[in-house]
Amino acid sequence: MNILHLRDNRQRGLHWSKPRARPIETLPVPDTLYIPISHWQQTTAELLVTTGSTLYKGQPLTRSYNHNVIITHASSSGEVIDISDNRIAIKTDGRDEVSDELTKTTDSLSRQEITDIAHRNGLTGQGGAGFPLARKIASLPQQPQLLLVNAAECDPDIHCDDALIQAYAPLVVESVLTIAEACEIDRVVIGIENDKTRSIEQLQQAMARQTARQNIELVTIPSQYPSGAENILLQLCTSEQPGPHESLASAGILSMNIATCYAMGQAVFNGMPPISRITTVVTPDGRHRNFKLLTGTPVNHILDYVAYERPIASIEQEVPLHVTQGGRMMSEALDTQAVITQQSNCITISNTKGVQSSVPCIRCGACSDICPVRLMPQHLHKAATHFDAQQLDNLNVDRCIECRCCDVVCPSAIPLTAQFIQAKEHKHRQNNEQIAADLAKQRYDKRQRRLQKERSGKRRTSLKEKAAPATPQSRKDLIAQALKRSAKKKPNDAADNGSSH
Amino acid sequence: MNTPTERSVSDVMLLVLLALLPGFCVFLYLTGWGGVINCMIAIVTALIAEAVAVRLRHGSVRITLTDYSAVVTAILLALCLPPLLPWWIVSLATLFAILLAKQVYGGLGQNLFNPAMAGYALVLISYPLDLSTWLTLPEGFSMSLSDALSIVFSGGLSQSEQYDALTGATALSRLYDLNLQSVDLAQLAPEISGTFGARYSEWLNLAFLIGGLALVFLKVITWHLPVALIAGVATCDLLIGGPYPDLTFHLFGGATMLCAFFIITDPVSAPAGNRARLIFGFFTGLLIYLIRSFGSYPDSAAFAVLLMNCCVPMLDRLDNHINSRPTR
Amino acid sequence: MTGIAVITILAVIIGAILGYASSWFPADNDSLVEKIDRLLPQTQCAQCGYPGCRPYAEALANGDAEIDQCPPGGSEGIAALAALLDRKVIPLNPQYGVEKPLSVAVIREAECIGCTLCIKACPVDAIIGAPKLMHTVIYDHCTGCELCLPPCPVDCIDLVSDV
Ligand code: SF4
Ligand code: SF4
Ligand code: SF4
Repeated sequence: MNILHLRDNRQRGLHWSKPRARPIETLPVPDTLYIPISHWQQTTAELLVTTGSTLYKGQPLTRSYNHNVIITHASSSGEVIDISDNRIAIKTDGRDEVSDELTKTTDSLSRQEITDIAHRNGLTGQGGAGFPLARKIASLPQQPQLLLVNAAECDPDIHCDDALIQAYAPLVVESVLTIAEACEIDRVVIGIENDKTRSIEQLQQAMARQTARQNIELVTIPSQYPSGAENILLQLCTSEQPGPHESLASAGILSMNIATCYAMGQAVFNGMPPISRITTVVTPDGRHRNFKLLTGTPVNHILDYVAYERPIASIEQEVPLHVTQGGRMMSEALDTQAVITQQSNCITISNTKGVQSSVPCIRCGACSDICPVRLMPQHLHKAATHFDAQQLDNLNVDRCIECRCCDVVCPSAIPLTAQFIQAKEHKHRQNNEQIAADLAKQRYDKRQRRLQKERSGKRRTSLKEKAAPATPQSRKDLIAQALKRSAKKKPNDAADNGSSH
Repeated sequence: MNTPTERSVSDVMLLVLLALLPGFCVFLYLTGWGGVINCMIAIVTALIAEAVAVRLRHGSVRITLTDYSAVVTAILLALCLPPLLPWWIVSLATLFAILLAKQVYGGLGQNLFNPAMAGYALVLISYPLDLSTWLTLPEGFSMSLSDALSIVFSGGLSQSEQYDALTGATALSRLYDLNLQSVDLAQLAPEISGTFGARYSEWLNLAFLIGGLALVFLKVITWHLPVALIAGVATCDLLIGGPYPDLTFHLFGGATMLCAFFIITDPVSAPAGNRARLIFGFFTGLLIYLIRSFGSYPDSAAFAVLLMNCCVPMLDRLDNHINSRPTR
Repeated sequence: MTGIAVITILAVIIGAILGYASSWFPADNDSLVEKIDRLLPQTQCAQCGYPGCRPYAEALANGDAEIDQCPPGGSEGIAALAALLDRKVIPLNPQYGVEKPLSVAVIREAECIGCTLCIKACPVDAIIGAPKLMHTVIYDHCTGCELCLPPCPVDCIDLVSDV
């Protein structure tokens, strides 16, 4: 039977040749910055500033003790001009003065301390999902085994990490080591694509200078999409894989984007919270540029800047621009209100909206040949269309990493991934409802049994009670009394006792 | 969502048509105007039938016709039919292929059976005489267009007065006839075999092989299906084949190569996983050989493919099952 | 002629066996009730005219009830029931109520007089409290069945939509 086992262990994915990353440019500080205020469920960060407060660069704007709530900071100096529910508008003064309350650290750190630093500085994963770093570190088990640094930005349009490494390799390496030491992790692996030769060189040089400290393994992986997805990177670098329902952190693996490591380094060594990040901007003519952007920079500011460099004719033509975030594969549309956040790794400005009409699946199998986690999207597609929960489960829909590889190869242009995401959500909702219903049923059944017992018990006692005199206060009287009490408490409410719903 | 599909259905179909080109040229060279007329009738009928069906099902006619799948079906069908058939046999086969084998199942992607083969099988069963009457092959374009047209529109070759002068048998049907008379097969060699395969159709098969290799090279199809089919034929030949007709005769005779590279690779009616593809191809090859050697029809690709099409849902489950096991 | 006769006789015999079998082995009603019960939302609101989901499931299994009587289940629930019981999908019967978004009961605690009447009404034990003391609804346990609203003498229970 083994001869039929044709699946090779080669990682599957899409290949693109990728141009070399361009050096980092800066934009002038925008007039107004909009810093988001983080919410988590019902908890909102506590504001430390009011309208009119003067701010310095790096000054915290909010405070919270909840690790899920991300603390935000002023990314330039200026004055608060407006505070709304979810963002603070800052009018910048152009002086870009740094706050003098930043705390730098040079000592070695404990795990608790580094968690605090991560939380105080509002660090989140910079790869895209934006998970609070403090929570991630806190959820590691006692003895974590591996620090996996993700330097593989497999999307063909994203170059920011490449640019970052070329510019700041020494700080990145130092920060990686500091994190590993603080979390007491013995094994450190940096995964990077083999075509980023410049970055690899830079990293190696920086590592050579740190030989006194821990050893870092630099693993080069083939340059293809989606090798930067956590689980796949892990498999490529260490040929390990977490269990199907296990998160990496709970398996003792701290996986961090290299930009997050850089931000961590800034926070530890310079006391500077992540108020800027390097973002790749893809212009309508398909070129990519790397900018160092302040968080809270409105996307329109970038648009204006990029638009100035267009030939006058194309400005006059007034082509509507579409702005998306997240690169070519994981792209999500941005509205005109959007601002740069810690997660903005790539902003794509295009003047065409890629809408394709799809035709039915021709069962060509291209999707299942490409799927990096070896699902069968064509069968999933059928199951999701009719929402067959059982079949979706059999086909492991939960394991889909939403990489959109299948969308790209599908000749019928079916929006497969979007369908799978929807199916997953639907399934989880149904699951939760079923669990709640089962619990309700259990309680109902128990109650029924209890009532039954009480009833049969009562019959016996009531026989005994017949001899005894009736209790002086029957239940009805009790209620009447209670009613009187409450009527006294709120005499004016008695009128509308009719219907309340 | 700004990534366009790398290769759309119409791109795939156009590539298939391009790859068919060498074989198509040889086919036309061998069949002359008869082949041209067959193709024309098939394509026109297919497009009209598809348009009408899509209209009735309230689909977009433009989108459906520009995926070119109907054209591919029509051409594959025409490549199987002998030239100078009465026009209505060609139309019937095409109508059956498009309407009953494809559109009633729900159109593109939904059909269980390969439409071209379903259409071919229908007319093969219904009009066996017409379907096995081939123009004496090397004549090709020596017959004039007007003669060809008059034959096609007046009831076909078998009704024509020039019948005896023009017809001949394909190598396979000749072999089949002779086989019934139980002559010593080895003596027939000069009569039916060509330079390296079956007489005449060897060149056709060679051209299809070249086009098919191009498709594999361009990653339009995977190697699994054709290789497995050839392996199936070869295995049978090894196990039960006599000294003559030999393996090259089987591989380069009849519709073997067309079937291996163009017919069973139709994504819709073939299984999707590589394991399933191997099994599917192998058994199709097996059936082709067996039906050819022991069945009551000289060539058998259509039946072999249709029979295997029935197994596709099962084969799909096989891959499904293996794939859904948790990876280590 | 013999062919027809043979087939007819065969048909009669097989029909007899099948008919006999179906009366001898009654359909497994209990497990059917279980299956139906699993499809019901377990809100236990009694809007269907039965004292809870289980009794309604029993009625359905016995064929005494229509599948269009459970408002919390809504059209999705009816579709699921129709598939299980092989009946036609029909719209919810408005006589029993209308489909509403999921909601939960909340007691305005300041006004609660501690009468314990709502505790008795709650079919899923989602209310806690003691006589003359403030009561509250356990958010996660409340199915939003509205059964606690009418008994409350001071009308201090609200139904809020569950987001
Ligand atoms: S099914 Fe999911 S994991 Fe597989 S290719 Fe599609 S999006 Fe990626
Ligand atoms: S790639 Fe698209 S058309 Fe091909 S099998 Fe997958 S879903 Fe179907
Ligand atoms: S109407 Fe209420 S009690 Fe009846 S089945 Fe539906 S949820 Fe249960």
